[in-house]
Amino acid sequence: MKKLLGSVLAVAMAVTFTAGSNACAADYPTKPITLISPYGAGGDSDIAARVWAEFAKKELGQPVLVVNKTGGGGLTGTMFASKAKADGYTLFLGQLGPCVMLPITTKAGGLNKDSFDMVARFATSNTGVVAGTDAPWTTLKDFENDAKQNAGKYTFSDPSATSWLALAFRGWMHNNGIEAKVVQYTSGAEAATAVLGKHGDITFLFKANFDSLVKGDKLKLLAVGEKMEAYPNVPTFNELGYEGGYTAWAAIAAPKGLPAEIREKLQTVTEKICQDPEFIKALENVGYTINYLDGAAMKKNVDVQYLDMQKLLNEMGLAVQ
Amino acid sequence: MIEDILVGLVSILNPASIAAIAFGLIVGLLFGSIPGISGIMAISILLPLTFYVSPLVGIPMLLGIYKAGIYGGSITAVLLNTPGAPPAICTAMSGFPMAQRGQAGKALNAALVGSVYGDTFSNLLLILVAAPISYVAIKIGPAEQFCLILLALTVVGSISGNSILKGMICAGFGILLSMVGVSGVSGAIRFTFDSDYLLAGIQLIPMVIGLLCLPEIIHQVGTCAKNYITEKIDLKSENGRLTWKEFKQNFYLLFRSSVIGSIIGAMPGLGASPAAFMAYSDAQRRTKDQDAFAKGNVEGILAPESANNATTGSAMIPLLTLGIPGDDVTAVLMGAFLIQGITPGPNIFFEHTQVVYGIFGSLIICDILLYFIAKFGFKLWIKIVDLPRSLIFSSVTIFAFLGTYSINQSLFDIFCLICFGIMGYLMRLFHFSAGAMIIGFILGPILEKAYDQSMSLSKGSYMIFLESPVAVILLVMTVVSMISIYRMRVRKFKKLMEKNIILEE
Amino acid sequence: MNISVKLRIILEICISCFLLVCYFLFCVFQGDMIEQTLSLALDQTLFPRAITITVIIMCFLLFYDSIRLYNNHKKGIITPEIHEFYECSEETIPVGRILAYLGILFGYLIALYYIGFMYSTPIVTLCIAGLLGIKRIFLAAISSVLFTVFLYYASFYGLQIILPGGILFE
Repeated sequence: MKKLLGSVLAVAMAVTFTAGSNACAADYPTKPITLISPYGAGGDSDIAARVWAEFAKKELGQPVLVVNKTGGGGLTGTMFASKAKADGYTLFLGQLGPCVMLPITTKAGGLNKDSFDMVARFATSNTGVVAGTDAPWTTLKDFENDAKQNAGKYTFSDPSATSWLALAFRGWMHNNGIEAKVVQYTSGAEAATAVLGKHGDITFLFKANFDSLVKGDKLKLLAVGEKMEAYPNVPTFNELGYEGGYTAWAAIAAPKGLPAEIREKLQTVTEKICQDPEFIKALENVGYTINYLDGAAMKKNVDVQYLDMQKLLNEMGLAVQ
Repeated sequence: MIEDILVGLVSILNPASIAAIAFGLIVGLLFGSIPGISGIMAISILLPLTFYVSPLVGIPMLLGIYKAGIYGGSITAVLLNTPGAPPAICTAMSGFPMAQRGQAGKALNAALVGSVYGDTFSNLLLILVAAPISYVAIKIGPAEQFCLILLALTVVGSISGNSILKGMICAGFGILLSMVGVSGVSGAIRFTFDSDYLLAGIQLIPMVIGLLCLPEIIHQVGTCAKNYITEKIDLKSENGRLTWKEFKQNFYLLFRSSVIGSIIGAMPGLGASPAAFMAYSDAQRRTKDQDAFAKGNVEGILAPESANNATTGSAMIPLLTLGIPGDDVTAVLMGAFLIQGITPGPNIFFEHTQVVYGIFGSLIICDILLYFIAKFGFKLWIKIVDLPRSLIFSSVTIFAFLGTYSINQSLFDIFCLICFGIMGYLMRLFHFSAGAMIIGFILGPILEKAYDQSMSLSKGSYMIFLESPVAVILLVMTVVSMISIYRMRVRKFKKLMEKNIILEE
Repeated sequence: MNISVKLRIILEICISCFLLVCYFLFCVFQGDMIEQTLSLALDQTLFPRAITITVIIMCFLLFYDSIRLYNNHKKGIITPEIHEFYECSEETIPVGRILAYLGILFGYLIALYYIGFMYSTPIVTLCIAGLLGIKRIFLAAISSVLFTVFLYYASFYGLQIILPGGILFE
C-alpha cells in the first residue's frame, strides 16, 4: 500500500518536473506558449488570436493557449504582457489601441512605444463611418459640411472610450473643426445599436460590426478606411482628402528583449500560416484582411504611427507622455 | 422560402447534430454546476474547433453548452448551497432550505421544469416573433435603460431579508466596488490606490463564490458538517418530484417569469442574473403564502430558473436579426457564426434560410434533450452528494480556487476570493444580504453607463428621463414596486409582532 | 463562542457606526482616488459621490434603528428582530475551527505562489478534509493526489489554462 502511494507521488512529481522544465532557444518551443489577448472572449480580436493559435499549434508542435487578461480597456493585458519574461513563451496579440494608443494616454503601467518587440503583423481590419439610412449625407464630406455649420447638433456614438476607433474619429473631427456631442458606449455593437435606434447620428466602426447592417440596408456607409469591393461607390478617407491612416492592424508581439532566433521562427511560422487558404478564410469571415508584414518593417510602421498619434493627442490635450 | 424553412428544420435531425447537441448539453451541465467555472469558458475554448465542422454541428453544440450552463448552476445551488453561477443565487435561497427539509428531489425537478419551460418559451419567441421584438429592443435608449435598471434595483428590497436598510447598504457597496478600476465608459481610473492589480477591477466570479459558497463551507467546517442534508434524497416520492398539480398551480407564475426573462434577454447589456432576481422579486410580491415562500418553496425556484433560461432564446434575437450581441455569451456565439461565414444580421434569414431554421430546430431539440439528460444526471448527482461531507467540501474549495484562477490567471483574484469569503461569513452572521451586494455589483456599471450617456445626450438636463414615454412608465413601475415591497414588509412585520405577542402570552 | 442578545445589539450599533465613519471618510477623500484620463465632458466623481451619499443616509438610519433596538431590549419589548437574536444566540460559533480554515486558505494562496498547484493541492485537500472530520486518512491521501493530477490535466486540455507552477521552481 505504501509502495503504491509512493509510486503515485513519484509519477505526479515526474510529470510536474517535465511540465515545468525550461528550454533553450534552439529547440524552441519545448513547452506550451501563452498568447495574451487583452480583450474579452468572443470579440473579433480574440477570435483572431484563437484562430492564429490553432494554426500556429500545428506548425510549432506545442499547444498555444490564448489567455484573456481583460480589464482596464485593454490596459491590464497589455501591462501584464509587457512585464512578462521575454523568453518567447509569452506572446501578445498586438493591436493599434494597446500598442500605440495606451502608452500615450495612460501613465499607469509604464508603457512606452518600445515596450513590445513586433514579431509579425498578420492582418489588418478595415473601418467605416456609418449613419442611419435616413441621414441627409451621402459621403463623409457632406457630414463635415453639415456639422461645421451646425456645431453641437449631431451626436457621435463613441464605440468605446479606450479604443483607437474613438480617438481616431475624434481626432478627425478635431482636425476638421467639427464640434459634435460625444456619447460613450462600451462596444462597437452598442454604438451601432444606438445609431439604429436613432439615439445617435454617426459612428465609426470596424467592418465586422457594420458589414451585415449596411448590406441589409439598415445603416448607410459614408466613408471607409480602405476601398471595399462590396461598396465601390463609398470613398475612402484619403480619397476625400483626409490624410492619415484609418485601418487597424493585428500582430503578434512579444515583451521587449525577445531573442532573435525565436523571433525569426515565429515570423516564419506566421508567414506560412498567412498563406494557408483556411486561415485566410477564417479571418476574413471575422472581418479581417490577411496582410503579412515582417517584424522589422512593422516596428517602423508602429513608430511612425506612434509619433503621428502623439502629435494629434497632444493637440487634443489627451496625451500624458 | 417555405421549402427552405422545412428543409432547414428537418436537416437538424441527423446523428452528428444530435450527438453534438447532447455533448454540448453535458459539457454545459458540468461547467455550469461547478462553482467558478461557467458555460462561457467552455464556449470560448470549443469555438475554434467549430470551424472544422458544419454549422449545423458546431453551433448547436455551443447553444447546448449555453443553455445547459445556465441551468447547471441550480444543481449545486440546491444541493450544496453553493450556486454554480450567478443566475442561480435566487435558486439557492429557495432550493437549499427545501433540500434541508428532505425535498431536494422536488427542488431539483422544479429547477429543471422551470428552466425547460423558460427555454422553450423564449425559443418559440425567437422563432416566431423575432423581427418585431428586435425593432422594439433597439428603441431602448440610455434614458429608458437607466429607468429599467432603477426598476431592477428595487429587487434589493425583496432579497434583503429582514432589514431593507442593510440590503441597500450592501447594494450601494456593490455598486461602489464595481467602479474600482478603469471605467468602461470614460476610461477614468478610479479607486485603484496605484495598485496594478486593482487596475483590472474586481471580478464577479470571486465575489459570488466568496460571498455565497465559501461562507457555506465555513459554516460546515464550523458545525463539523453535522446538520446537513441527512435524509436520503428520494426521487420517486411526493417530495422527490414536481407534481402535476403543482405545475398547474404555478403555470401563470412560469409564464410571467418567462416573459420577464424574455424581455430582459432581448435588451442588450443585461443578462441572466438580473432576470432571475427580478422574477424572484416579482414572485415574492405576488405569492399568496409569504411564509412558505420565505422558508423556501417551489415558487421561489420556478420563477428565477424560468427567467434565467428565458434570456437565452431572446438574447439571440438582436444577435440574429441585427448582428448585435446582447451579452458576453452571445458575443462569443456571434464569433461562431462568423467563423462559419454566416454573418448574423438582417439578411441572414434570406441568405442562409436553411441553416438558420436548422438552428431553430436545434433549439427545440436542446430543450427536449436537456430535460432527459438532466433527469438522468440527477441520479449521478445524488450519488455524489452521498460522499463524505469532508471530501465534498474540500473539493468544492479547490474548485472555487481553480474557477477563480481560470478567469484571468491572476493570484490576486484568489486573494479577492478569500477576502470576500471572510466578508461573506460576517455578512451572513449579521444578516447583511450578499445577494444585494452582488446585484448592485452587476447592475452598477450599466446604471452608471446609462446615466452618463443620458447626461451626454441631454447636455446635463434631467428632463431627458421624463421626455420618453417608456422611461416614464418604467419610473412609475419603479415607484409602484418600491411601495408594494414596503407594504409587504409592514404586513410581515405586523404578523410577526402578533405571533410574538401570542408567544409571550 | 455564543453571541448573547445584549452583545449582539451592541455589535449592531458598532457596525452601523463603523460603516458611517468609513463611508463619510470615503466621501470626503473620493476626489483623490479618481484620476480622469481622456478628458471628457462627464464628471467622473458625480456618480460615486451620489451613491456614497445615499449609502451614508442609509447608515445613519441603520444607526438610529440599532439605537431603537437597544431601547426596545432594555424595555423588554420583543420585536421580530430581537426574537431572531434570541434564536441566534443559541448557536455556537466555533471560532477556532473557522480561523483554522481561513488560515488554510491563505496558506494555499501563498503555497500556490511559491510551490505551485501540483504540490500544494493534495496537502490542502487533506487539511480541509481533516478539519471536516475524515475517518480514513490513507484513502483520502491517495484520492487527493489523484484528484490533483486529474485537475491539472483536465484544466490543461479542458479549460486550456496552465495552473501555477510555483516561483521556486522556475
